[in-house]
Amino acid sequence: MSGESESEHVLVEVLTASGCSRCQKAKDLAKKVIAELPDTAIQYREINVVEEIDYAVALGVLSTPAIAINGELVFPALPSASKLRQAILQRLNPH
Amino acid sequence: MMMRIGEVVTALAISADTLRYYEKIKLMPKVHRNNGGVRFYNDKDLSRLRFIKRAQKMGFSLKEITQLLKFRDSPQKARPKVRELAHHKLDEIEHHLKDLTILRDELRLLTNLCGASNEGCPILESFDKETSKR
Repeated sequence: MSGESESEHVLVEVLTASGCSRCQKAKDLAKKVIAELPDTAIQYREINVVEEIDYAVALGVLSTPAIAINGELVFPALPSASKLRQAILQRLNPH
Repeated sequence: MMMRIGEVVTALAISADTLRYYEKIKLMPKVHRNNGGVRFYNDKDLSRLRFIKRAQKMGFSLKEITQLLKFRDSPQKARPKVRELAHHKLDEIEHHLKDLTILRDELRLLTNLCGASNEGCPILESFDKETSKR
């Protein structure tokens, strides 16, 4: 074992829909937060809930925007930048 | 509480002919009658009728319901065959329930989106996509 702990891969998914006024805000927020983090192990994906409704329902999404991290619905509504950053960091370095 | 047949028709939305038929084929035990021959349904009868209605809604045949009612009356004394049917039906219900839950969640999400949308309605969008797939 190398004493240095490797960071985990993190997938951030922003769930959106057409006609949703706050969805663009959520996408911009997620991209900005990810860009500010030095880690490259973060993947970003945008999901249209109508196109991927099975996945959205399985996550438990009830409205948009919503943000899932690593396949778990973490923010059912638009979070603050600091809360999103914290949630990503927690998963990058869980220990 | 006792109910006349007309009241049962209204309360459970089962026709009077159907109620009489259930009794004829022994799906229902002989319902209590007054001296004038008027049927009176007690709480137990109503509970049995609700069970029959629910089971029919789930697509069970009257023959299957007869077996399930035997199981309902005395679960301990039920024969292995009836018990097996009950288990089988239980699995079917679990499956239905799972499908219904997904359908409910899907509709809930679409309804919420529709209410919040300032453009089109995502419900219609979803249906359009389904139609164009065919």
